[in-house]
Amino acid sequence: MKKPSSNSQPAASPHGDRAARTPDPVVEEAISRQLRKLYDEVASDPVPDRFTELLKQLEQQDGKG
Amino acid sequence: MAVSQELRDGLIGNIPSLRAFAYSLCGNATRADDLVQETMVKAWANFASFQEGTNLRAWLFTILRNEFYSQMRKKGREIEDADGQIAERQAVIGNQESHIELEELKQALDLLPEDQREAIILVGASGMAYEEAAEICGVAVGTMKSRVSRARKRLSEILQREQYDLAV
Repeated sequence: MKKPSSNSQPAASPHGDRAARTPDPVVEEAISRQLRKLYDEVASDPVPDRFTELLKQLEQQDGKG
Repeated sequence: MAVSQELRDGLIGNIPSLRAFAYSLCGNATRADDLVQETMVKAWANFASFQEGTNLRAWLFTILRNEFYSQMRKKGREIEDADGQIAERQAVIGNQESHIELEELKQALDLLPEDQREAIILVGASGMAYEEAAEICGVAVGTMKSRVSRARKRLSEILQREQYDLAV
């Protein structure tokens, strides 16, 4: 969001361009949370049918071999 | 050779984590499931070389990881770039300072070097111990720790800068 300001520095941010490189614990926390979410959302999905089907096929192949 | 019931159950039990690992690595649901399918077929064909009693999840993750990189080398990375991720970028950023969307995180992950990306996915996203992640990637535990730490730092830099840019 653009804030009207006569100054080119954003008033809301205490960081300069270089200071923005210092790790911000709030951002780090948000990253950790989203990393878990990225993984957990898929990991908690039920296993799609294609994989149970595939397993059956693999077992049948073994039965014949 | 017949695959034991235990291995078969172990394989089924690991499908959810394999899917999550694949999705975190490639960022595309269809491609992720194709990777899992390849992994299952390869695992099944090579179960004879798996030492029962050792870590099955690590063994399976290693297969998936190798498959992922060999596909990347063949196809290049244009698949991911073609998904129009950059175009989505504008829409996803909220105005709370700590707010990071999943899509932003995925884009930031994409900017990491391969070794750091897989490290942060295994340890930071899947919650795996450094030791197990190191085994999967075939590196020393200390190397894994430093990759994870560099990955965290890079992600912070990327996502912080993005928020900063938006605030201006």
